Order: sequence, then C-alpha cells, then structure tokens
Amino acid sequence: MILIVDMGSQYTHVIWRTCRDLGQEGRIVPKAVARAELDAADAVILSGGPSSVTKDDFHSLPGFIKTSGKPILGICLGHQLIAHTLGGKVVKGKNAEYGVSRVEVDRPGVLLEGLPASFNAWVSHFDEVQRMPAGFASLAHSDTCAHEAMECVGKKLFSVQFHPEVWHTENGERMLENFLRQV
Amino acid sequence: MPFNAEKFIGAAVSSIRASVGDGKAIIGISGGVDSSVAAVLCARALGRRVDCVFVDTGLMRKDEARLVKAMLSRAGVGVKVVDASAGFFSALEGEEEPERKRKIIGERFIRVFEKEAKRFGAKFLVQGTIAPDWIESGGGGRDTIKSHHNVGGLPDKMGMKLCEPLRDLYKHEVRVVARALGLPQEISERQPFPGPGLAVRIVGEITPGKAAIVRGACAIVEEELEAAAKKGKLELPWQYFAALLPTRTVGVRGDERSYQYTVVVRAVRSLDGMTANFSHIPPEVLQKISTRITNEMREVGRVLYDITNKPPSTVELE
Repeated sequence: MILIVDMGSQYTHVIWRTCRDLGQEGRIVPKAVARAELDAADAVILSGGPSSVTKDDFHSLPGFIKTSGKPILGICLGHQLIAHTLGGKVVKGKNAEYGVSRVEVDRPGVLLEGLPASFNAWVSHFDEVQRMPAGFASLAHSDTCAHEAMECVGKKLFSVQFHPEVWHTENGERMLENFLRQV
Repeated sequence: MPFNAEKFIGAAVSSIRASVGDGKAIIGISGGVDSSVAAVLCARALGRRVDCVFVDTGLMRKDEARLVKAMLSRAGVGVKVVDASAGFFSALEGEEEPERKRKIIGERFIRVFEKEAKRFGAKFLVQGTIAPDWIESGGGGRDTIKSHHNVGGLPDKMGMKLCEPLRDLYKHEVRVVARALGLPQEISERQPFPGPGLAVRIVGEITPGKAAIVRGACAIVEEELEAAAKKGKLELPWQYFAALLPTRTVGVRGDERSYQYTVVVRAVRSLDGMTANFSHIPPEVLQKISTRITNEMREVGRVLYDITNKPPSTVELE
C-alpha cells in the first residue's frame, strides 16, 4: 500500500489516480497521520501544498523522514520538507515559477532514469531548496531553480520540485514508475 | 491497471441503489458529459424512480435548453426543463465578487431542486460532481480556488441528501464511461461547460444584456474553431469560449469614436482540467473570430486572446 500524504495540494488526488493507473493501490491520508500508519505503508508520497516548511506543523512527518528507511517521494512542498528536515535550506526563490518550466537533467540517477536530457515540467511554487541536505545528489535544474530533483538512494529518499503527477509534465508517469520500483 | 469503465459502471449502479434504497431521486442535468453519465447510471439503478431536471438559469449558451433536451432524448433520457432565469438574474443583481456570485448561483439551484424534489417525492439529489469540483472547492487543508456551484456553493441547509456517483473521476475518465454506456458522441465528446454557466464568463456584475453579449461571442468562438478544426487547421481545443471584461476601451468605427467592452477569447488544451495550456490557434482563425465578434456585436470594441496557462490562471475567468 502506497500512502499519499495530503498536505493541501490541488493534485493529491491526481497522485492517487496516477498510482492506480500504474497498478499500485494508494490511499490518501491527512498531514496529521499517525506515525504507526506511516510505518505500515510500503512507500510514502508527500504531496505539495500551499503552506511553507518553516511556518507549518508537519506532525510526525519529519521524524518519519529522518528514521523510517521506507521509500519516500516528496513533491513540491514534500520536496522542500525533506530538504528542510534533513538540514538543507529552503528559501523564498528569487522568482516564482508557475506553469511550464524547462527542466535540464544533470544526472538521471534512479528517479529520472530513461528520461530525455531536458523536458517540460509543470510547476507551481515560490519557495525552493537553496541548499540540499548532506548525502543528496542534485539531478536536474531549471532557469529559475537549482534543484528541480534530488535523491539519496541509500536512504530511499527522492524528491522533485515540479509536479510529475500532472498530465502536462512530460514523462511524469515514468518518474513515478521509477520511484514505485523502489517498493 | 488503467481506469476500467465496466467495473466502474457496476460499482456505481450498486452504490446508487444502496444510497437511494427504495426511495426516489432527482438529478440536476446540465447537458454536459458528467451529468448525462450520472443520469444514465441513475436510470440503470433506479428505473423510473429518478427524475431529470434541467434548470434554465438564463446564463446558458445559445439554444442550450432546446439542444440539451433533444440530445438527451436521443440518448433515451427524458428531461424536464425548468425556466428559473428571472430568479437567477434578480438574485445576482449588483453582485461583483466572484465567490459570492458562485454561492448565490449554488443556492438558487438548490432552491429550484428542492421544489422539484418535493413535487416528485424525492429525498435524494444526484449531481454529476467530479474530482476537480470538490478539489478546487477547498477543505482538508486545500485552499479554495473557486467554490463550484455543486460543492462549495451549496447552502448550509438543504432538504435533500446528496448522491454523487462520479466523485472520484476526472473528465477524461467520465468520457470513457460515456462511451462504454453507449452515449452518442455529441454528449461523450462535448466540451466542458461550467455549472454556473455564462456567469463565470462575465467578469463583474451580471446583467441580461451582458449575458446576451457573451452568449453571442461564445457561439462565434465555437462556430469558428469547430469549422477550422473540421478543415484540419487545428486540433479542436479541450475547451474554447469567450468571456466579457467590464473594461471599456476606445476605438473608431465608421469615422466615429467608440468606447466599448472587451471580449477575451480562451481556448485550452488539457486532459483532466487540473492543468491546462493555451491553444496555439492560427492567426487567420483568430482574425476571423475577432472580426465577427466586433462586427456582429456593437457593444464590443476590442478582442483579446488569453495566453495564460493553468497554473497560474484557471480555465474560466472566475
């Protein structure tokens, strides 16, 4: 079972739909989900959301990110939460990004395996990861954002600033498939 | 395991039976693919214990009530048309704020449905609500992008229980179900039309006069884009329409100064309405649309084409 943590994204239910289309049963849970429930999942996807990692309460999620060892995929706010929790730096970006953004792949790693060197992705954010946590590899960047994707394969942590779940992001399903293969 | 329409149809019919029991239901029909699919599912589940009601809000497209009635009767669904336009216009008078407009419309719809439900002896209201409707209406930590009339626009108190068999589906999945149910193409492939109708295509205050302008402009956009698509000049967009801005600008007509309204033409490409990009319409098609709108509608002095994606904008203007 894939647990999809709803942090208030417009696209949380679309993540659920994409998992189903890929043959994986997902369940949407609220942000205040109990640690025991997270621990019982095969993998966890953290959705985006309108809040900020420095201002909001994420309940048992930071502890889970630090110690679980389960495959976790962070999307948008989820990406920022992983970075913030593990000692990286999340700041308000110089420029916001909404709509289409050209993502340039620097190294495919596990998450972007099989993808073209650059592709159009759909984004909707102002905050961004300025400094990654130790042990993470940056996989891609765009004109306005240095870390569009990052991963720490040893800890099974993967994250993207853009939204792989929406139809307009090219190869989005392939990225989710690459993640689900870690389960 | 992509979306399985047959499995969905079976589960939906059982769940409608389970919620309505041996009672009766009415269903709000707009003529779009969502409510049409919900109506056919209800007919399968409840037989004659469901009554289909089309509310003419006065904010419909050109000839909409007549077209919808004919289209659905070809699909085997009988529809009762209720003309409630006077009530909608008077309730909306003087209101400019988009969220309050949507709430007024949601409330008006329910008051009409309550009356119809009472007449038919129904305790349930079936709606063709789909996922983006409740997602964008907010709740559960999500911001309210817009209160969809059938979700966030519902009044607190209503004398009917809701039944929403399509809640977890998106537009492209509803179309798959429509095809599996054997609905004609004119319904299964019909472009989306918002529940509040032309109200969300009139920025600011709504008047019957403005509704007439935007109705005419929408008809021109539909005619021209459909004709151009037929000739292979473009792929028919996912949704395409005109909207009216309250802003007036200066022009010159027949050597005389004019000071008229602005119409926005919008056409987007999407799968599920959750994200969208503006369509690339050939300039000669845009030119024809602009010329027709300004020539056929004296009240319009300028035509713009909307080149914003979703996000940051939404498909409709309000």
